[in-house]
Amino acid sequence: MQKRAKDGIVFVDASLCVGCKSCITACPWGVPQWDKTTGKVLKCDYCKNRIDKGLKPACVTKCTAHALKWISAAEASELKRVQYAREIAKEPV
Amino acid sequence: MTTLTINGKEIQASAGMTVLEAARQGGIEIPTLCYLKALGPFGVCRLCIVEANGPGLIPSILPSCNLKVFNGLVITTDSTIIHEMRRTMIELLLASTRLTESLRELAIKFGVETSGFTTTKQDPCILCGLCVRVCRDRIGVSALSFEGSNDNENVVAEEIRINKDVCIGCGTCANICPVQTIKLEDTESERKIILYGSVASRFELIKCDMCGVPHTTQKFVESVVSRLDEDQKKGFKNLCPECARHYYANSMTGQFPAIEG
Repeated sequence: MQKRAKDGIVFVDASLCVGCKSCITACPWGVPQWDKTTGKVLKCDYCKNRIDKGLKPACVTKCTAHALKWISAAEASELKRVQYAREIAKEPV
Repeated sequence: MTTLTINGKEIQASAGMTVLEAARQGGIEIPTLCYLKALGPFGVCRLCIVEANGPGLIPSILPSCNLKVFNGLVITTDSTIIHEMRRTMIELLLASTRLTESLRELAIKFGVETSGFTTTKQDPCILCGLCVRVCRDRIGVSALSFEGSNDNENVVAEEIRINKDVCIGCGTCANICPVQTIKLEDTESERKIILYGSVASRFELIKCDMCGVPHTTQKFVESVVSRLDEDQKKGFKNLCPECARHYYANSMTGQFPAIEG
């Protein structure tokens, strides 16, 4: 399990995973998943290979309802502020 | 960057890389049984041997997992002599273990049909040492060791043994074993680590505080918690991964109530 310095994405290098499951027991969010077929841990890496090519994660690209968005933390908090403001002002979103 | 030649093909490798890693990166396959990137070179199976030549090197046959790349190194991975030596290695392996699928595939690939050596050993353990090394170097427990019998004058490893008082029951050895000599069996309340067909250590499985499903051993939890920082220790909860997701998603959004046990 490693963290990329440039954007903070946490990912599993499968060639280095020995399958001890320590990360599964330690993670308070229950995020790392056990892959029985490979005997290694899986974790969402935000499709970092796609991100590096300037693309969005596969789930965001293919979400039929456009419910998922790929935005920065600053954009997310801006979005939330606007949503709450509209809710308080009873303005339709 | 280092430039070396493998089977006549020029290959660029980063400094510090081994010949095995450089070959694999260049799409050249070298067989191994005891190598795992996570554990580094060990050099016991001898299947990864290659012919090596180059500046300052006497032409030799060396294990590629343990040989660092350097400029001008010339490697041959599949010459007649390498092929013959690998065949002998496989014959020795066939004679010293019970046949398993991974070994059968290797024997077929190298055209080994019979072994000229005889043995009385009945287990499939190839003494690759992955279990011993992962337990010592990654888990930090050293519950597994190579052992030989008392009349073994040459101190050659004959088998693997588990110290059940030290074992924490994580099961990484079973996960990593390439021939399933070590197995992990979970029942309703108990975990068994099985080595050479008999139970080598037993653990009571602890249950998830939310759903009651048995998920891991107490000693393993203690080992993981001991590696957490103080804040993480305070927040640690005995939950299975499924319940951990529900618990924290629910505490953030109120929309994911716990699964009933």
